[in-house]
Amino acid sequence: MIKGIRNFKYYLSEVRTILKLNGISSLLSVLSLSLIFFVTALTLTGWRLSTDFAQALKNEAEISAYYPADLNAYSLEALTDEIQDIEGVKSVDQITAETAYDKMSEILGQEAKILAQFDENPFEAYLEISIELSRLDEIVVELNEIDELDYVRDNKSILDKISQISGIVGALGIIMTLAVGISTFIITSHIIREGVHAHRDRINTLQLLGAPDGFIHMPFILEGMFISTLSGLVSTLLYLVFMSQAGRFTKDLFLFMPTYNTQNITWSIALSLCIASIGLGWIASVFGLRLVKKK
Amino acid sequence: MIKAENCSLQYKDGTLALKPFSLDIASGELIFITGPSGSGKTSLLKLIMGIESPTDGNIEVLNLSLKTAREQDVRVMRTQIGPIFQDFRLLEGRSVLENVMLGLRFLNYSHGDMKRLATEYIVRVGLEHKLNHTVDRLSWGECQRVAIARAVARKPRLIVADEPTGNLDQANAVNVLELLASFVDAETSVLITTHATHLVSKVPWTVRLQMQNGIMSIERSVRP
Repeated sequence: MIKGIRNFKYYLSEVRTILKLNGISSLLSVLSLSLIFFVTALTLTGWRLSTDFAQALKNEAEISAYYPADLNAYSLEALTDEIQDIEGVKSVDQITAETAYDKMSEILGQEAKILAQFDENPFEAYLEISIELSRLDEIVVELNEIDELDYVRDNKSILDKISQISGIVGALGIIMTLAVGISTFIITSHIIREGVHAHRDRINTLQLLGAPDGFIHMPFILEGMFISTLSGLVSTLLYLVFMSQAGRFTKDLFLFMPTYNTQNITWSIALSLCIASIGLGWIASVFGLRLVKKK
Repeated sequence: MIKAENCSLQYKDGTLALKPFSLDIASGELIFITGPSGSGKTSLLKLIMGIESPTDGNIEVLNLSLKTAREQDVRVMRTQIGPIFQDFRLLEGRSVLENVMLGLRFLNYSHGDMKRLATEYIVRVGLEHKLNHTVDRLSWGECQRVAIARAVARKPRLIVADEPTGNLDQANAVNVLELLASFVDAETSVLITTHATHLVSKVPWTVRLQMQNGIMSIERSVRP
């Protein structure tokens, strides 16, 4: 251990020499690994965002239940209580036709003037039922059995589609993560093998001088880790710049979307990228050396 | 120091590089291995360095039986050998001092001791004025002296020099042989391979292994 630390300066200068000798090859490896890491970071971000977005929508899952206009206040209260008692219903709010009008005006913003074209309020009063999404099907069945309700509108198809998209992006994220792991592994192992081949005389000399394997191999392992870590840092930088620009753009584009803190996602992915690049570099370097040794 | 009994070496392609030989070399010897190219000099060095294992018989180097030795034991044995390669195999882009220190790095020396020992032997081979020069800028003869310093600074029990006079004129070749011979002491033997048989008489050797078509003949001289 102490010897290892004592030799660290030597290892670093050996890494510098190896990198210098394999200059172009090392540079291209850093570039390609950076791009691979960057694309993976974007895919993972898409996965996390879509999952969070679907979750946010699920948390706000609502069913609208319409009742006859002539239903009296007493019956409406009884209907509200009956619905509230259904398992999985979180809350029931009575929305008057006026409130429905105001809500739509708010959503439409500047375009709300179109509502002024109507002689009468086109919206009906309804019950806004907040539910646990996992019980959506059962709740809809029970609501449909209530005679006092004219029409029940669920958003099942939209919610299902969002869940589906989130699943696809998630699967893509896993595939990309696997692909990046394998690509990094192959590229780094190959760099190490090339390095060992290019320095076979030097390695042979050290072996004949009685140098332990650790002493001979350490510069090559450090080289692999350096290339992989540098690629991780370059891609993290690219990713952070991209996300700050993309964040500004999407903020203006998707005003209607629920807002959540993308900064946490960005930083956690950036950190994971750095850690993964170091770990992958080390594993791939050790593997590359084992391959050469076996040969 | 080197003990062989009915030892032979046959390569995988069937070439019988060394026919059965027996040998017993003690400490403090100056050994020459002579013979033309392809006579088995390099094969013998490979056996001694633990690069090849004997096909039959056994060879012991520094009390280690190479027939059955583990890789780790061979590595430890090599730390007690100072090899001088024909092509020197110095680290390009590094100074004379760094190259000599390389041979000491994985032995149990502190940084200060490594530097002191390396400097001491660089002085001994007459390159003190080139201590911090990179080896790329040195002449052939100077590179050879760096290689010698790297080998001997380790204070090895056996110094093995492969064709150290190969590219030198007679005067310089004799200088190199004399330098190598100066490292022989009670604990240290020096083993030199050469095809220049006329140079052997220039230094006081004690054992001469004459190789011819894989057959070894041993000649002993009185100790100087």
